[in-house]
Amino acid sequence: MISTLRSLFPYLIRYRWRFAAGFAALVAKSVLTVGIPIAIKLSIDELDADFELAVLGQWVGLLLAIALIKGVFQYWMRWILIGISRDIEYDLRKDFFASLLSFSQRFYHSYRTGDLMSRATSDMEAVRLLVGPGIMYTADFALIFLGVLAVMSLTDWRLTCWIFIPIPVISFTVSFYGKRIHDCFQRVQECMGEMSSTVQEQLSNIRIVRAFAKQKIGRERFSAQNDQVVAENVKLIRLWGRFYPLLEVLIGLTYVIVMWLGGRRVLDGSMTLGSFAMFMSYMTVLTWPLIGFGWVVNLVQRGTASLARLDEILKQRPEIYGPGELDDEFTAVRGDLAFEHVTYAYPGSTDPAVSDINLVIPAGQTVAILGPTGSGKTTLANLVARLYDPREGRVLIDGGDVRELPLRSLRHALGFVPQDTFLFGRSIRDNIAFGALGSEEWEIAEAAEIAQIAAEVDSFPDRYETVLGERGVNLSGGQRQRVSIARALRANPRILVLDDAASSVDAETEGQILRNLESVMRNRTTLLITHRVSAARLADRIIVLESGRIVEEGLHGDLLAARGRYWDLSRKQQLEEELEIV
Amino acid sequence: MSDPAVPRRSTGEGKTVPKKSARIADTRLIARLVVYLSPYRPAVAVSIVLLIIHSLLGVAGPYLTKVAVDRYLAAGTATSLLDAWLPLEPRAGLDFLAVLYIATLLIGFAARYFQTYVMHYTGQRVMRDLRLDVFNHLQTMETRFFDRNQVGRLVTRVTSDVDALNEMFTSGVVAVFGDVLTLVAVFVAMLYLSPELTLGIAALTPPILVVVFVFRQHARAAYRAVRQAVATTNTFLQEHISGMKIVQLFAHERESLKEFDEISAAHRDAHRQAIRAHAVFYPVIEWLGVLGTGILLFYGGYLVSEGALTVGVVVAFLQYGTRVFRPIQDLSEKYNILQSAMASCERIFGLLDTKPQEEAVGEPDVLSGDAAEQPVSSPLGVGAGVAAGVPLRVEFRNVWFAYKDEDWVLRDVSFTIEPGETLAVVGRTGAGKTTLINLLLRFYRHSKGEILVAGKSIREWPEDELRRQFGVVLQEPYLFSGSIEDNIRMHDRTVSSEAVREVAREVNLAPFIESLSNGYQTKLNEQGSSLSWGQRQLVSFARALAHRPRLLILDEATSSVDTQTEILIRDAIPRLMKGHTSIVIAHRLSTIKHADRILVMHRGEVRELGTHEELLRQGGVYAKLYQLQYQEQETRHWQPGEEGQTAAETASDVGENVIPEQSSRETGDGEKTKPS
Repeated sequence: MISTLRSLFPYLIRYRWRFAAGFAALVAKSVLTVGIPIAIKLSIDELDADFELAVLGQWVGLLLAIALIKGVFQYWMRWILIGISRDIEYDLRKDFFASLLSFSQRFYHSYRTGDLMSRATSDMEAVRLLVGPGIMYTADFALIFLGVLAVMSLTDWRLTCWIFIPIPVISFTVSFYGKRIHDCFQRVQECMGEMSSTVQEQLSNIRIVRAFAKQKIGRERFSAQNDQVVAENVKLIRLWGRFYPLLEVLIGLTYVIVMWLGGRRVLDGSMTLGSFAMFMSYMTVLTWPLIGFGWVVNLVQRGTASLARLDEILKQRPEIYGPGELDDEFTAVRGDLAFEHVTYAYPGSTDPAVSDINLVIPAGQTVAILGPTGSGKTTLANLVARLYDPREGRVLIDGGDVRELPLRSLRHALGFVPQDTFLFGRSIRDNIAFGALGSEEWEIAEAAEIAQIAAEVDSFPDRYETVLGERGVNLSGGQRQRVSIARALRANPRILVLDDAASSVDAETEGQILRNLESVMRNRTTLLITHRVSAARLADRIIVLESGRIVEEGLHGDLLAARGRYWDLSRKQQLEEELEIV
Repeated sequence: MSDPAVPRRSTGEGKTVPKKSARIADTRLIARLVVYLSPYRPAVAVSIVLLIIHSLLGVAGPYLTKVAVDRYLAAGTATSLLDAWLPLEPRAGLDFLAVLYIATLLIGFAARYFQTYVMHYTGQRVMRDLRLDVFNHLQTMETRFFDRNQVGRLVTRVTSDVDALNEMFTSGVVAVFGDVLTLVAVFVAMLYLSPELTLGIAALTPPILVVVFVFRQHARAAYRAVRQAVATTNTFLQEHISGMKIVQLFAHERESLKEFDEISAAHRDAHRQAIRAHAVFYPVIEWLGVLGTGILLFYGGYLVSEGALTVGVVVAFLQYGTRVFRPIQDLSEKYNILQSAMASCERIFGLLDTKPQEEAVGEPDVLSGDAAEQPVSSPLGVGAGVAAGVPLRVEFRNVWFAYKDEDWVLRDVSFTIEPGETLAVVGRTGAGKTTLINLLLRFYRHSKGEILVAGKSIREWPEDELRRQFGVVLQEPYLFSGSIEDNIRMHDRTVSSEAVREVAREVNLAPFIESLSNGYQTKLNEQGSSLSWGQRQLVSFARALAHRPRLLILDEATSSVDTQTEILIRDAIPRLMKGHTSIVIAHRLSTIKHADRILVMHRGEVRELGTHEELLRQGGVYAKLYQLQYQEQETRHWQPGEEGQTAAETASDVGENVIPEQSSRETGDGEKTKPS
């Protein structure tokens, strides 16, 4: 636990002066909290005797003054210490996101989005609770407890001993029930989980359930689980129902002890009525720390566990990085692209996705890559962008290994249209300018024009300011893909990678886009991954991949004449077109 | 209950639910909730009585303290309610009072325990009833309802929304009631002891309420900002984690980090507002408490000096004071719980009010018609074979269908399947093949024409009765959590273990299952991730057979399957079809070849109908489809004997050369040539 907590130190150290101030306020607040009953004692003692109202007024004034000053410190304590916890949360969150930004795709294969999100949200909050309320209340409770103990012992140590008999029992009760209630609650959650997955299952599989006329069985299962939820909840209620009343009894018991034994002392004359009232008052002061203690212990435990989960991410180092990442300047890239005996297998797979690929693409050339699903086309594209690094061989840009190029420069030189279109939930303008911030209006419009999306964008009331996604306009798959193409073009890349970039666009529009691209592609290296022969024929060279290897290579006419796979594909696509017409 | 003329709100789509949050005192909602409480009236009554007892006992402790002080500790001669029983000797008196105090504590404990138990237990029962109602109601909705509504949302209705109500029952309503009772009891006790002093304390109530009110205003504004900030942060994170590839590909990391920094800072600052509100609120409210003590001491002292009050009363009031302020603060917190519960309540009842749009004809009442489901399934005897059901005749007569308006998905479709015949349906994606099955299963109602099963229109069949005639394999091999055996029998106890084993053998699934250490009892999770896609298909085959269908409906999956399983599946399908009237949406050449006739769907119409050879000779749509999708399967999945011969035959039929060995990929199913 301590070793886990150690990773918090760098964050805590950053705020050491504010921590010091916060703790100073905390100490003052706790001391004054303990002081209030003393003022009450003095007042009551005054009451007991033949008294003067003015003197009583002094004591009451003292009481109110102490409470007022206490309140001021209490404010500072909370404001500073809880405030720090939000600052540390902010730091942690930023570091977390910075780590995420640096991790390669491989990381995102092993961690699901939901998992990362829960670390960034619930675990982050648990750590925040540990750093803020966790630390604050621990210190506060400890000080109040010790202060009360000290004052009471000094007043009457024997009575104090008696009072402290139920107190360990209270703490024990809290931790005993706390754990059991937690476990029981866990079981309730499990049962709820099961029930809710049955509902989920019955509803999402509704067709098969109905097709087999098995609704009744689904109802029975649900009903049984529903009853189980009730049964587990009732167990929880039994614990719960005992726990709080028991606390009440135990805390009440401390009052009884004060009244009973303290009363005897008052009768003896060994204790004043004021001290009696003070003891009563201390019982009230102690109530919250006693109950809250169990809660704080829980908080610290959960926070530690969550911290470990955050640490797991924060401690990882990026797998893929280049030299000079901090440079602001980009290294210029001409655009010669080459694969040299490149082999790559995805993590956990023994079969290489691509093997021994050799390919030289001089700057400015367009190469089309065709091949069936799973033949390694996308892998080639990903290797160029260093989303992965080859297991064997090298990818060369301008004759040098891509791994020697700063990552930012490499990607700055690339325009990438991935197979799975991803757009951000912001304006179309921001999406298109994603790789080229500060783009001019006309530049964005130009990119949109080439990608054949400009006309549609102009038809939206907000044009380029149209916000995409849940809260905005939902574009069709084809439209999204064209925005994605515009985004890659706006990056003004030396190397353009189109990975099945027009799969959701009809052949006619694709043709139009490609014709528009011709001028753009003329002086850029282009990797055109497609499944349409009509698109591939526009390239300077065509490559056919199969099972991760290059099986055919050449010009459109030559490949057709060879009557190989390319020819076969071409023939099939003709047939498809014919079927469309039937 | 609901007026059919009033357009109903579709509850599944959250957008149509009015944004205005439910009012706390929505009497109609409360009235409907009370209906759920009414079976548990005695429990509710007991609970209320116990709550009252508990509140009264809470008042007793300070009173006993007062008596102790006045009678024995301070030199007074005050009278009290207990005088008749109190011993004269001070020590004995203290003992007596201590015992009495302990007794009130213990009775209070018992009252509180039973009260909590009874109330929560009742709450749980009510929630159970409500969940059951919602679930059963969902079961009556037409199949299309589940296309329109996200399942996740519907699950929320059954779980979280009901839970929010539970929260209201147990923490909300009861706690409010308890708080109010305590407040009343304490005030009555205080008034009894000293009306003047009570008035002094009561004077603090307005400032406390003002402070609480002001705090709530600020806190609400702060929390609104916090919620917004949290939502923004989470959306940003979620989006950037999902789109990390794009961020990296476009070298956008620095900018993203900067944006996140801004969002995070806003998040932190929003929290600052909330922290400030709390940091001010607690000291102020606590100071007001101490002010109350001050008033008590000073004003009380004055009254004591006037001889109008005893010291004991002042001491007792010190304790009462803390019991007054807490409930006043709590009451305002409960408001939120009530509010969210009312919102949940509205959603739940909204869903319950959504009536199915297509009323089932002759369907047994979901809640009471269980008996009607019993007759057909008698356990499959050992060796009875799978062809036990008498084959059916199916006819589509001029069937038209549109999901909406005149957007016809099927146009004038007519065909028959004779008893024992296998009909393969082929066509491109979107040709209307799956729709045929959806209509036959009555997931959707056809718009025009007639579908006859065993000579009777399916509109006249009770839904469950009709479906029990069928053995269905849908394209996606749905699995349920539970064992493999449960999945095959679909938790239906009337399907015997022997029957399960027999059909598993029949569909080539048995060797695999028996290789598992737990065999048929191996647990599957809902996604079935422990099984491969192909194995899941085999499970669906077994499932279809286990229920002894009279008509087999098979929608062949197009997904790729490993070679080993592919062989098993290809071998199993003809065996499935044998002896059954079958309608198969086919993607495998081998399946098509085993069919008696082939129905070619194209753009919602029946284009061609005949045997494989006939259709090839016609040179129409089928011939093209064949070249496009099926032909290469022949060369890839070479099987000795029968298959090989037909392959050669057909090749010469079309007058094409056998194309070169195509691909080493395991399956094609036309996926590769089809634009995805």
